Amino acid sequence: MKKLLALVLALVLTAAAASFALAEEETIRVYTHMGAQIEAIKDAFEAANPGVKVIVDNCPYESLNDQYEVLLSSKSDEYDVIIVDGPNTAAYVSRGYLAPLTDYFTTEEIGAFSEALVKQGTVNGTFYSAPMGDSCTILYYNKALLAESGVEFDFSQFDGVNSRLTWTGLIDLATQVTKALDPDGSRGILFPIAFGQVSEVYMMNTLPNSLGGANISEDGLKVSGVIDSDAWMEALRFYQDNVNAGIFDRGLGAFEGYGNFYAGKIPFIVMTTDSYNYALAGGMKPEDIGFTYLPAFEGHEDQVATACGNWTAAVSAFSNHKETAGRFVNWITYGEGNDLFLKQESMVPNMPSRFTEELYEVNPALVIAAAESGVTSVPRAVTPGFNEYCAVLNAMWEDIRNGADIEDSVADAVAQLDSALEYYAD
Amino acid sequence: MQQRTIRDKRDRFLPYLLLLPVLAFAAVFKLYPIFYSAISGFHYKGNWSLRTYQLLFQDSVFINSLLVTIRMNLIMTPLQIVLSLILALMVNNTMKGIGAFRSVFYLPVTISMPVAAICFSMILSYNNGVANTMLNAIGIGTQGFFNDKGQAMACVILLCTWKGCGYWMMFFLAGLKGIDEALYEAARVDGAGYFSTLFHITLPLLRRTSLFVMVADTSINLLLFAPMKLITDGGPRGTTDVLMYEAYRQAFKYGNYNKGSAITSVLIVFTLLIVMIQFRMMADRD
Repeated sequence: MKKLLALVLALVLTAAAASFALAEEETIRVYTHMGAQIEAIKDAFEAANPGVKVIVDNCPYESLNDQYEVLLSSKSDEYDVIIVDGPNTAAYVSRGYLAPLTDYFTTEEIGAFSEALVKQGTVNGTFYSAPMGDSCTILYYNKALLAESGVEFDFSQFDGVNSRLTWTGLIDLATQVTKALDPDGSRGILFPIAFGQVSEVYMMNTLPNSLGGANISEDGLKVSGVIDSDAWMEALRFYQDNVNAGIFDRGLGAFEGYGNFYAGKIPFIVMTTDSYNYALAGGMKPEDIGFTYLPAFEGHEDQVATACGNWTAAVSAFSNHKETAGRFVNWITYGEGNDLFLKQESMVPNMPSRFTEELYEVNPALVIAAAESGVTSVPRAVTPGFNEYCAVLNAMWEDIRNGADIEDSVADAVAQLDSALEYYAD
Repeated sequence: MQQRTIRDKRDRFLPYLLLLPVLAFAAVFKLYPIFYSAISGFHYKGNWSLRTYQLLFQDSVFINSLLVTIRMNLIMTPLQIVLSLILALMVNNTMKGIGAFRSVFYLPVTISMPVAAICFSMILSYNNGVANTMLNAIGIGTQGFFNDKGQAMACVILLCTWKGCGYWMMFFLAGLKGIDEALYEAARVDGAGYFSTLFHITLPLLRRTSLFVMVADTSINLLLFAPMKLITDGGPRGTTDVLMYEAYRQAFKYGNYNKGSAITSVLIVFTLLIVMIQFRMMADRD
């Protein structure tokens, strides 16, 4: 009987100890479209934070914003850390989705990030989303196709600061290359020039921006007087004329141009700096990947604009583990985790001090980003209605690409957006 | 006597008891969302208000969506019903191998709408779709299809008609099988031709089947969503932006649940009105 009692006591004690240990372990959940990338580095955070377990759930990029609306509008506490597209910060704060990060970052730490990225993550003076990296749009070309075409061009003459290609120059060059490679269309070269993220404001707005056009009004609540300005109309006409002339791509969806560039079907393409590594993964040889500064419009060389901004890490306002989630956000954006993330993603660093030789070796295209960053980079529209802004303007760019009347399309977009953004002004 | 009373009571309540699970499911998953969205539509920024509806009826996007929904359904629903009836009449015979034809016509129903939508978007792709390759080969030239504002709605209608006709055909076929063969015999003896038999015997006797197909098809078509979500995103220039997609966009893309709910409520009322009209039109006059 005594033995049995001792056994029961031992079992009870073991169970109690186990439950105590379980209670000690804290689990935070991360929701992202970069599941594999964060999964690959989260062990380092767990090792540095004993008793903390990180679970990463992946969501397709196309559905991420919709998923956040469903999860966060229902005040779900399922996720502690959410990876947010930077320009959405203002919208999410206005809906009460994000917790301030000020308890998890010192002022010095926030000040170390690039100024534009801090601005993007700050709403009403409070810091809500920390940048994981930055981005930059550059022009890629397929060196093998250029060599095969026999068209010679010296890209090394451009330094970005004093000289860069013009759009007119690029169109002439790309047309020559395409004609030489595929004179009768039998080879299947799709288009001379493509935009990787076609019909997406991130990339397309650089055209009106490069003619001096802004993205939205100062208060972020109007597009009238902005997207119907002369700069925008000129850019839209330039774009549509070149689509109609068969120079710019038509019919490809956003990101479809990437694969066609890797496969040698498009000689020139505008993509982001981190696309360099995707091109390698897509089968291109390093010696075939050429890159240069984004072209300028003739007579507007001093106004050239490149896209910037990137994904940020934030703490859900409904998290039950804000403290640990905040530590994770600090780790992956400012701490050791960011070094691991940048090396893996070859992304533009979120602070100037992180542009290192080691990073340039991983991705030589970052040289361009370093030159453009803070000089030509234009942040996306800062507005609480960023989702509406993107949906309407993406559709407008797509319609214009498909031949819609420019004046009518712009008027439609202005009416839709001014009306939608009024909701935030009330 | 007492035993009989208990049995009577039990018999009276048993059907309700058996129906309870279904009613509970309908209440939770059908009625509750309808009431919730009806109430939500009367909120604006957390307060009871008519402002959501006021803004909605001033919104050119919503008005366009309403018109697109009406236009699409005015074409698609009659087209599907007529084609389904024609298919049913064609396969309603006893020739050898007719089962194979019925299977072929029914086959699109077994493919899920997202899969069908993706297949159509590939076939009708601007750059490398099979349709454009064939059109180019015969000298017609490349068409925009889902990218062209004049063709996008027609392409969506084509997809939904291809996918839906086989399903409605089966209902018409069942209705045709239920018509007494003796009536056709009598008509033949009286010297009635094919069209005379069709319009004076077949169609009148298919009235109830037609009513069901019409109401069900209208409801399904008014709630059409997948092709817009997967292919057109409501474009080009809002030409395929139906109410269901606009409600989804407002709620889940813009986070404006009140507006999404208001659009859903309008859609429900609109669907009920159409169905009521159809019931009145098809009511037995005798």
